[in-house]
Amino acid sequence: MNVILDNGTHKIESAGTLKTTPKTIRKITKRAFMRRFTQAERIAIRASVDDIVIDIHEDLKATNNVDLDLADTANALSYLVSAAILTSDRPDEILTDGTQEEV
Amino acid sequence: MTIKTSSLGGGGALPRLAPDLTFPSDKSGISVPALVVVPVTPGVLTTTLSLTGKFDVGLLTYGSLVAEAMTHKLTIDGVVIWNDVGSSNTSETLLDGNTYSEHIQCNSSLLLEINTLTDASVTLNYLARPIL
Repeated sequence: MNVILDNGTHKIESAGTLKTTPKTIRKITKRAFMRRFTQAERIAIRASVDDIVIDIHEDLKATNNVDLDLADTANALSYLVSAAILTSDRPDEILTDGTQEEV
Repeated sequence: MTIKTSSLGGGGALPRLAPDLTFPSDKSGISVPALVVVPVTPGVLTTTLSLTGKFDVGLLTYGSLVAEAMTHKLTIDGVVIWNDVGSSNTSETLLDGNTYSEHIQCNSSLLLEINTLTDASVTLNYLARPIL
């Protein structure tokens, strides 16, 4: 029998094994988030004179972590597409689940 | 006038959940349903879930079944509650606390066993909450 839980007073066992799904990581560090952009994309963001792009960049600089599920994050990436800094397929790539190394 | 202890809030027969202090940051804990994949030997009674201690059980659902006759046996605190052969579909809900407001409680032990005809692997979705 496989022990699933044993806290001293309660025990859960089964002849089977617990199927666990890895925890989905949706918050990553600012540095990890910036690394998801290519060097050319990062340079384009920094060099942009577009007020909204500048605001997105400043906002990012002020944060520690980036929530990949936040509507603001998705909106910012959409704007970068409209500003021709990102191609239309990049937001989905940038918003993929985080890894253990990115937290 | 006599007031039953069980009628008083917070006392009597009402189950009290044991602490699960890592929920919800750790959703693999005991406050959410868990899924076990159980290899079974056809013709042999196999324990899919064994609880020792005091538990409230709100969900027992088998999945990935071969649709065939199989035995479901449930023993609570040493008393056999279910023990019958029935025709199963590819999934069988034995206890669904959400739909029927059914919950069962064991004070010391619960044993859920299955005996299949040909099926060699089943999955069991269960929710067993330790109570005080």
